[in-house]
Amino acid sequence: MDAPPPVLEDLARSVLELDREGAVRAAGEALLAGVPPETAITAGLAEGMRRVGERFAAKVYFVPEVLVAGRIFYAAMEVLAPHVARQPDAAGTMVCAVVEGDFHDIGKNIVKLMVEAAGFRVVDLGKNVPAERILEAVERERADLVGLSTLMTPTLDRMARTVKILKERTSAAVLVGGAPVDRAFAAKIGADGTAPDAAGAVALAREFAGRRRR
Amino acid sequence: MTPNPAGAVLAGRRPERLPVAPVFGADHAAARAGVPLRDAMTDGDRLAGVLLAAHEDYGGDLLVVFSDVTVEAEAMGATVRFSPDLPPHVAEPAGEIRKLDPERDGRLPVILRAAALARAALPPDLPVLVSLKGPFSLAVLALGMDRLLALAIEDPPKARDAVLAAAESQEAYVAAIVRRGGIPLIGDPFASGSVLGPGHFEALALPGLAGLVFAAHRTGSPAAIHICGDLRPVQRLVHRAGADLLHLEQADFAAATAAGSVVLGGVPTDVFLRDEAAVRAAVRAAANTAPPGHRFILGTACDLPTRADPELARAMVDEARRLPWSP
Ligand code: B12
Repeated sequence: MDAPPPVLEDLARSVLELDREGAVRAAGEALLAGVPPETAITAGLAEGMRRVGERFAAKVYFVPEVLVAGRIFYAAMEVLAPHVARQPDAAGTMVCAVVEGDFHDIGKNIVKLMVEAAGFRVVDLGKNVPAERILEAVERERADLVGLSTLMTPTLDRMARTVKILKERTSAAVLVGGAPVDRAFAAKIGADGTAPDAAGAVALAREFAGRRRR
Repeated sequence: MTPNPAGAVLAGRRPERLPVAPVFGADHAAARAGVPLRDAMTDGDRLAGVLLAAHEDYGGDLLVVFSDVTVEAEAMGATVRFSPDLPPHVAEPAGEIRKLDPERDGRLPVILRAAALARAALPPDLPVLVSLKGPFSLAVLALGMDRLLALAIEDPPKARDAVLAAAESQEAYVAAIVRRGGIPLIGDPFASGSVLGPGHFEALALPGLAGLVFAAHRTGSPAAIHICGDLRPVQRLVHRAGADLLHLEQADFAAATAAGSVVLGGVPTDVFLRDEAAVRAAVRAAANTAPPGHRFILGTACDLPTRADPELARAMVDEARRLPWSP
């Protein structure tokens, strides 16, 4: 197998080092070098975001760094996307939301970013979202997955209620997360899985989307 | 009457018993009194009324005058939404940071009125802490999180200017709080180590915190800082702000007292949504892990949940008072 073109490493490294100009330049260079834009996205930009997720988990990066890496990812994406011959099938569609009664959305935004960078189509419903609106979006978007977030203990009940409605009425896999959520709670309320961070959310999304496609 | 132990600890003296304080805000105090949140948060007399009623019921050794996190951002022009059973949130940021007149703008006079009433109603040696936002969090709430956090990396001087503008505005608020006999309690949730790393904390949060602590000290008042979440990534930098009291959640308490501060905290707030046994066990655990010396006020790590059962807050104080204590 050929060694990967060095420009892919430039793309990944620019995202990781929060170098916006470098990322946009490397995206142009990848096109000039004839690298398929799909490859530049998955093996370059998305790989960079994956490494950003690692640094976040290791507490080397914090929230601002991840949000800015996301902006850089999209800036370089805008250079590559028009040249993608056929929109590749998304790895799956995820609807994500912070449950009703909670306005803490930093964690959800990071999960959204990392799942999107991993090749999923993500429909973000925002914060303080009633169960009925989530159900409606899951049906409308034919979502494979739902990611529910809450940071407050009092809203765990609403999370439970949302999971119940979704499991009764749809076949989507429901993932839950946020600081007060643990495995025991996720299992108790009938969710399909939980993870303590965004990297874990990506792994779960891959696992459940893969199962549904089989 | 025995001198107030929290006041003693803050003054650097040995208390006659372990000071204890369930910390709560207007949301909890109004909910337990059956007062609509919005009414308590927009009227200084009602705010003081619900806070003092809860204080009297629980019997803690200090009082915090806290309405909600949006007060200053709203006064700067942010759109704030109230709902019947949740603390208010910023729906639309102000988009700018302007210098506030604490005697006039937004709900700042409401908070100051409640502070003055609370101070007058309570024994003089019982500390009355009055919450205001740290400059970094205020800048985030006024400008919007995406905008400020992105500026932090993409245009650091601009981000620093925004935070300094917020700090300048808060200096006048600190002075107004001290004039009411309150101790400024600077709350900086966005500067939590759950959100910011040490690099940004040092560049963006620390200068404003240190400046406000100094502003309080210049008037002869102590100053307190409250940051919840995981403090550990930034804790050594928090010490540099020079606050007399730190109200903390996940942190190294012994390091904080060694750095010269009194620590308030130790009891996680989620136990108040469980049962009395959980609360009592958490109080004993907090006492067992208390930092050495007499620089500790056993408190809730953050505010009591809105709907926490008052019975459990009473149990917290009762359990703390039963602990063995040798002055
Ligand atoms: C920042 C913050 C705020 C900010 C929120 C800004 C925003 N837009 O989100 C502000 C200042 C506005 C705020 C307000 C309030 N807050 Co607050 N806040 C915090 C703080 C300090 C950090 C939270 C955070 O952003 N962490 C960083 C992110 C990256 O981590 P994360 O959210 O956990 O997400 C990660 C994982 O959990 C996971 N994950 C998250 N979602 C999902 C979903 C899925 C599917 C998966 C798989 C994984 C996953 O991946 C994420 C990335 O790795 C916490 C303290 C703490 N202990 O956490 C309190 C905290 C959450 N707040 C709390 C409270 C009570 C409030 C207020 C009610 C206070 C008040 N009295 O007004 C208000 C709420 C107002 C309202 N109406 O909603 C409490 C909740 C207590 C409880 N257990 O119920 C906490 C825990 C503080 C405390 N100890 O009391 N807050």
